Amino acid sequence: MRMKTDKYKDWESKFFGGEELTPEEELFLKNESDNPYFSFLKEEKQEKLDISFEDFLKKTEEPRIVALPIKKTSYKMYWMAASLVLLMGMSALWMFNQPQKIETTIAKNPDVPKKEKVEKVPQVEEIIEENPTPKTVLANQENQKVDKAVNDKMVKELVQKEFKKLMAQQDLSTTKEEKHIQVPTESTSDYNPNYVIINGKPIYDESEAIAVTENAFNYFASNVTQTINHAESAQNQVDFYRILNY
Amino acid sequence: MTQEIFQSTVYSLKNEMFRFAKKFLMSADEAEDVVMDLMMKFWQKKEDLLVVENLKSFAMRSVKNECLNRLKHHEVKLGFASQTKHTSELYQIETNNMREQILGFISQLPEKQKMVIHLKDVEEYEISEIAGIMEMEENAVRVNLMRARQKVKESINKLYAYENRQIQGLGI
Repeated sequence: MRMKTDKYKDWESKFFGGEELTPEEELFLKNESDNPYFSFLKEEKQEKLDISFEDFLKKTEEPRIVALPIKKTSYKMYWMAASLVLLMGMSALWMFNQPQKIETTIAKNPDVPKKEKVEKVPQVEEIIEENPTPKTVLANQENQKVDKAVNDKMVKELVQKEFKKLMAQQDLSTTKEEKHIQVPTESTSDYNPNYVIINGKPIYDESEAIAVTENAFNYFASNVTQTINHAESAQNQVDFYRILNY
Repeated sequence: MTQEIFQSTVYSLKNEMFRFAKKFLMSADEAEDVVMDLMMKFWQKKEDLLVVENLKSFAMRSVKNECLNRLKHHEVKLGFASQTKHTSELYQIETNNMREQILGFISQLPEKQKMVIHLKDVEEYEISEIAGIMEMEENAVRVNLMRARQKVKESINKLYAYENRQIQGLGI
């Protein structure tokens, strides 16, 4: 009996030392040892899952409802989309309302005649500048790149219209005339509706007045063209020197 | 694979799978869910299981992987934390249930040691099989088993010594 107990103790110490015992030795320890660990092992193995195979088969026949995870609404995406739309809208607004575009179109229009030395007629320009409608009409026409003949015709019509308007205004008020037309002080009292004074020079003929105004417009256009050409050549020089330095 | 073959070869492993899952998840309900989910998957792919050499190892490895996936879930983590707290409380209130005490000692072991000691001592797997399930070297399994058993034995001895001191203090 004593020898048997010593053998159990030896097996037990081997077991807890991590050594492998034979299946018989282990079985013996589990059945005979008074160490609570072995009785725990026996009890532990009694734990079972009480679902019969028939119940399992019934479960397999049932349609499975898989709960999909609820996706959180990403407000970040909405903000990004809204920002993009806003940015595109602002860019489009800026592109279509660019003021330089009109001037560039005028400058690049080959139909506009080149330099012509004409007397400055600031009074007529002022008149046209004060009236926004003709300017808009002019700008639109030039944007659409109409022919020179059409341009000239339109200019003539415009000037005629302005001339008539000016004449009508002269009838109404002499003070308004002073703003638009440079007239000698002594002539305000001696008003004669048969002529207009441009640069201190009375012009009796309507066609001559139109010609002078047209020249003024041409001079203005050529000045703009010249300025832009200078600017472009300067830019070219800058680029050339930059390439040389590079 | 017929129903009968599935029942005898795969479904018969349900108890082992359940106990193994419970060791991971510390919850009988979660363990049952894991086993049933896996059994469903095995049933759906029962023809593919014919080519698996060691179904027992394959099933236990599937349990391990499924349990590790579930442990990543927040709720299971919380459940694990509360269970750990529960077992430590059990230790503190000195319950006389030795089984619960030993369960507490095992649950405090590192993960690998816990699994190895369960597979070897409870499920009586061979070292080579455990190595296959745990994806470890056989020597590593032996080392983990030795350490786990020593820790459990020390804890039991400490518990005995503590109870003896209590008995002597009472003058029984």
